[in-house]
Amino acid sequence: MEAVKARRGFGLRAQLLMLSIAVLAIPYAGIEYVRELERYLRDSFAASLSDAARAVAGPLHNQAQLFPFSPSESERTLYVHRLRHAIQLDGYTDDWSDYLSWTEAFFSARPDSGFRLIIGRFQANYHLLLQVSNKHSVWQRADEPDALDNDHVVLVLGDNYGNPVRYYFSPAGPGTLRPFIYHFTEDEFRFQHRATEYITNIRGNVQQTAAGFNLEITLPVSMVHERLGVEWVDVEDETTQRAQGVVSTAGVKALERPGQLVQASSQLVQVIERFANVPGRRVWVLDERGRVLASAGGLEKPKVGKQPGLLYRWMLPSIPESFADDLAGSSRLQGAEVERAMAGEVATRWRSSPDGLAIIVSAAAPVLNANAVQGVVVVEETTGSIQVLQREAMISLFNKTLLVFLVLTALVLAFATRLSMRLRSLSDAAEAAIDAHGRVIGGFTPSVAGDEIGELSRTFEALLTRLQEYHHYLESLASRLSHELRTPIAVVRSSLEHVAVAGSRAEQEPYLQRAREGVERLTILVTRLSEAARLDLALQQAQVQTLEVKEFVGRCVAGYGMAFGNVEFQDHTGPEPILHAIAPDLFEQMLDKLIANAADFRSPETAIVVGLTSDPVAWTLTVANQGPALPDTMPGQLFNSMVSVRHGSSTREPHLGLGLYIVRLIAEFHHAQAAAANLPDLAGVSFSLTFTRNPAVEIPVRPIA
Amino acid sequence: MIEDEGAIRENYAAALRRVGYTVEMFADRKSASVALRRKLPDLVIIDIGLGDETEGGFDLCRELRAASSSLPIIFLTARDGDLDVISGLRLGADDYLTKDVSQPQVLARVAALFRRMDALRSDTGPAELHTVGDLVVDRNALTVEWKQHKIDLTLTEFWMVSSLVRVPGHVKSREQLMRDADIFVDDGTVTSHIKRMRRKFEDLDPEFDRVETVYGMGYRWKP
Repeated sequence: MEAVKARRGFGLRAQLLMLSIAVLAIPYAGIEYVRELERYLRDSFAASLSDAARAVAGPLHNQAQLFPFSPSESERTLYVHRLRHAIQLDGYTDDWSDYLSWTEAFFSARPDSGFRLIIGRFQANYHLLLQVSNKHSVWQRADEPDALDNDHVVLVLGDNYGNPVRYYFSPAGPGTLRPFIYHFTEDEFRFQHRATEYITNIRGNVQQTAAGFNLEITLPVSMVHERLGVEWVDVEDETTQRAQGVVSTAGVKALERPGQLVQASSQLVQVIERFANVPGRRVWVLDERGRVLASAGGLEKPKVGKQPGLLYRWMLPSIPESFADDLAGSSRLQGAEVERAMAGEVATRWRSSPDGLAIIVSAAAPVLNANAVQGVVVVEETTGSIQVLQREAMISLFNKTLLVFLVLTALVLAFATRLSMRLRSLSDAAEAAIDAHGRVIGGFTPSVAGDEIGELSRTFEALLTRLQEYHHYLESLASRLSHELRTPIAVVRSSLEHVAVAGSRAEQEPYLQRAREGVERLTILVTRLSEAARLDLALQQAQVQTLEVKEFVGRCVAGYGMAFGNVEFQDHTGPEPILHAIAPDLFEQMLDKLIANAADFRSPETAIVVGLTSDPVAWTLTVANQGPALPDTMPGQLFNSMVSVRHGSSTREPHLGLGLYIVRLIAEFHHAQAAAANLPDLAGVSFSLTFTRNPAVEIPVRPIA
Repeated sequence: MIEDEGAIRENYAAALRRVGYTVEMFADRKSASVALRRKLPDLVIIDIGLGDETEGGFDLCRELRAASSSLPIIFLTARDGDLDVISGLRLGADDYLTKDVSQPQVLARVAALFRRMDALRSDTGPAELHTVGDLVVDRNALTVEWKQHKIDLTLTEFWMVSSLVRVPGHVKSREQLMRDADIFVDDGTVTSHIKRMRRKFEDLDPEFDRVETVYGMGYRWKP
């Protein structure tokens, strides 16, 4: 027989190791958990920001004096920052550095023409910084100090009556400069004269930069009456000297009606600065149209949390140390949360910074005056703290997963090693138990382990024992056969030798009789051997018919009574018939074997008892005899191993242990269970055959032909 | 004669009676044991399997040996395997026969055993000695001595040794040995007889290596 070629594949250990990789699913679940955590943190973060916004709004309720008169919607306003220190009028931005991010941009369609503006107030002065972008500077000609056909800046202020006054800054080059104004007078001929007047209390300073130039302006607070505008006139061509672009803070009307200056009252700033002292928090106060009245604090904040290891720095996105702030210096805030706050609700909004590096959360709460919204408080923070928390949770998760993975892998490896060692030793032991010729050598020690491998080992042992028994049977069959054959041969031979030397016919007769008996025994032996061999064929060709079992068995038993004497039939089945599909001749052969077996072993003068019992599920045929009991060693294997285990044979019939084997084959053919058991008190042996009723065949009652 | 198989018992008994022996027959161990305890016979033939007792013959042999160390005992067996069992048990039987042996052989063995008995009993008989090195074979008393020690061989074994030493160094085939030992059984039986005989020498002298197997041919006595 050719050995089955095993597929090459992974060993048990490798398989289990691969399974342990499934542990890596833990981080996935963990990440989901961290996400959940983040959601929760974000919610609570938004809630705490909302609370902060409400808290800021609290002291501002019903404080109408803190909110200035509101100009009309269409007007552009300029925000006046409160400077914390004096500004040196030098045209350089060094002393503006804290405020540069608050500059407001005013550009034309061309990005290289325009300016950034910031207005601050320190004590009694307003300070303006214009960062002018200008591709090509055209300076004032030295001989025309009041000429305006070059690059220049117009500062527009309202006078006491609301009329605009224009101050022209027309630089002839870097350095200090003073603005001038035009006075138009009509003479008696109604001819307009233009007179130039240099203003002394407004000062400016120009310094060239890479993009263009800076213009710094200082003017006293008393000159400004709520309104201020700036216009930048760009002249590109020195020869034509025509203005190429005009950009102003209040559109085309800047010169006629400059925008309103908005500034927080110091009281307002004081109030909100109390709330803005949390690092990374920015607080805004807006009027009821969303224009910024005051702001305090900043979004950027010192980094917190310890620096993670190199691995995690590589794996996890870093928390940006700086990012682009879209609202810095805004004079007006917009957005869903502001709109809802204007409608009287507290609302939050999440947004990314323009460069995508940070997420900014803003919460807006309305400020009420007599139940009408008079302003909005906006509190902003970045989600940096959540990111730090999330990151720490992620790192801790990774660390723990790694630990669990390592421990688990080690455990699985150990377990798999042990398992494969056990299996290998089982395999080795099983192999060692059988020699190269398939003979069972024995020496297989079954495991006492309670698990499946132990079970397998015990099954192996049982299997080997049965195999050994079977081998033993086969081996002993030859010697038993030679024994069984040699005795009749000896009888025949010795008888014939006597016949040869005997004189008369009368002297020969007893020896001839003995020789015939010997030959008879040889015939029986051969018949028995061929009977077992023929049975397979008989089983294939068996004709099955439905019979009434009680009547059938009863008739058989009557026959056995004549053949063996003293055979009893005990029917415990009750009145109803038992119908079963059986092969009558095979069934009878099986019964023959059981009766013959019982007759072989029964004690003299005792009866063989054939019994029938039944229940709704099955019926059982038993054949019992008084006599020697079965040895304890193998009661269940009588039928399997073809081994004759009882030595108490009282007849001289040859005995090869084939009878019960035939019984088993026929019982299996009828789907019946064959069993052997000792009678109570070991007084004898009972063989039983249990047939499961088959309802399908119990319908027609057919008399036995 | 103790034999449970009636026909064989009757046949052998008839053969023995025909040549003038008195034969008593028993079918099982119990009745034989009782009768033999009363009076020991001159020679016993025992079947190994006696009724239900598959080794009843061995037990009986043990009893008889206990009663007399010189009583000749012949085992009658139906199975070849029993020969090895007997050797293992060292029951001190004088010969073994398988059941299909012919009547003349049985008679020859019985006669030979009686001859040996007589030779041992009467010290006066002319010893027919044959000496090969340390080995002394007495063809009259059917005994063998190795280095001045007597070796207790069965008849079959004696005849085999005797046949081997007739011409030391010459190979005797199994057939020749069988013929010389007057046994007609298969080759395997010769092998087991040789094995048993060799073991008896080795028990006395662990260095013994004279009986040599010549593979494919047979055995020879190494001079």
